[in-house]
Amino acid sequence: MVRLGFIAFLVISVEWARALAEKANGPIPAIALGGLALGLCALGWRPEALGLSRRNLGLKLLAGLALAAVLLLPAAVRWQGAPMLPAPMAISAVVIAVGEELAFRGALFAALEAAWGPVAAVLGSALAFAAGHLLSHPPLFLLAVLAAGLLLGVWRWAARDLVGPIVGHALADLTL
Amino acid sequence: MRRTRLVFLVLVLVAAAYPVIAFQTPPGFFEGFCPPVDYKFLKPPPQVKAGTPPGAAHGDIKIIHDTTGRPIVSPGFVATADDNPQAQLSFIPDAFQLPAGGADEIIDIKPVADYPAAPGISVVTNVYLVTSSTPMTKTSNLRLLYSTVLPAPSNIYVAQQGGSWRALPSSASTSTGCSDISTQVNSTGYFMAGYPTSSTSSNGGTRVGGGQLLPIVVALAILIVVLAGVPLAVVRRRQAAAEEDPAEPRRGKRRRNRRRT
Repeated sequence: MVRLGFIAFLVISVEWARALAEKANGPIPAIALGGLALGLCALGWRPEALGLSRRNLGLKLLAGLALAAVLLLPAAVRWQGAPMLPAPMAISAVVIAVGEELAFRGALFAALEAAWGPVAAVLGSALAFAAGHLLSHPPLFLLAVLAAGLLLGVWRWAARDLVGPIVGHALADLTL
Repeated sequence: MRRTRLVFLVLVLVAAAYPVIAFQTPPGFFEGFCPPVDYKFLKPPPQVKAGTPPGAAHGDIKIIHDTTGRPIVSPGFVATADDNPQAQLSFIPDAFQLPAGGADEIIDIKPVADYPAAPGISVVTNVYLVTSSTPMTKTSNLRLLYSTVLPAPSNIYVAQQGGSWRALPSSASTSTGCSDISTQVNSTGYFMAGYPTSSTSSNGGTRVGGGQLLPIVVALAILIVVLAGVPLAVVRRRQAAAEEDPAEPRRGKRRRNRRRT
C-alpha cells in the first residue's frame, strides 16, 4: 500500500513538474526530462509485471497500430492540415509517451492490480493519468484524456500488454 | 468463455466511448506536449472569452557599418509586447533599404481589425500589419503564435493593401514547439495564419459533437479494437488454460478432447 501511494504520488508529481517546467523553460527539455523521469518509475519491476513480455510481439505491435488508429480517429476526421512537428519535439513526444505508459499503465497499474484488482487498476490508472494532465491541459480536454486513459488501461488489462499502448500512444502523440 | 466475452464487451465500450468524448472537445484536441497557449485575440472566436487585447511592436533599428564601412540596417528582431510574443519579425544585416539621412529604420507590427477579405481561408490568428520605413530587400523570418483551442493552421498568408491573400510555405518552428508557425517573407504587409476553409466545408467534420460522422467513427473504433483484440485474447485464453493445468501437455489435451467428440 505504501509502495502504491508512493508511485501514485510520484507519477502525478512528475507530470505536474513537467507542466510547470514547460511554462518556465519551454517544452522540449521539460517534456524529454519528464518522460525520462516517468520511465524511471518503472525501475525495479519485472518486465512481465509491466506487460512488457516479448511473447507475440508482432501481434502487440499491430495492436499498437490499432490503438493509435482509434486515438487518432476523432482528430483525423476533423483534420485541417498542420505543420509537421520539428524533430526535437517529435523525439520528446515519443519519450514522454513511453514514459507515461511505463509509469501509468506500467508501474501504477501493476501496483493497483496487486493491491485491489483489475477494476481498480484500470480506473485508478486512468484517473491518475487525467490528474497528471491537470496542469498541462485546459479543463475542457481532460475528459478526453480520461477516456484515452481508460481505453489504454482496458487494453493493458485485456491483453496483459503494455507494448500496444506504448506504440499507440507514441504514434498518436507524433501525429496529434 | 464468460471472461473472454466480458473482456470484449469492456473493450468495445471503451473503444466506443473514446471517440464520443473526444468529439465533445473542440477541434485542436492535443495530447499535452504542446502547452496550452494563452492567445490574445483582437476578435475572439465564440469559444474564447474576451480578455487582454494583443500587443503591438515598435522597433527603432540602428544603422551600423559593415566591414567595408558601408552603412547598413542592423540585424535584429521586432516582437509584439505579449507575455509570449504572438508575432515576431527577425532579420539579418542589411535586410532593409537604408533610410534617408541616417535615420533609424522603423518597423511596426500591429494587430488590425480591418484587413483585406479572406474568402476561402479560416483565419486562426490575429491579422498583423507589418510596416517598415523603407522596403525590405532581403528575406526575413516571420513567426506567428497560434491558439491551441482552434485547429492548427497549415500556412501563414500574406496580403497587400487591397490585394488578395497568398499562402506562404510555412513550418512549425522549434522555438516554442508546436504552437507557432514561421515563414520566410520578402515584403511587409498583412500577415495571418490559417487553413483553406474548403477542407472543412466539404466534409462538415469540424462541428463539435461530430454530427452524422460520429456513428461511423464509433463503429470504426470498435471494429479496429475488436479486430486487434481477438488474436491477443485468444492467445491469452490459451495461455491461461495451459497455466491452469501445467502438468498436462496441450497437444495431449487436444487429442483427448478429439477422442471424446
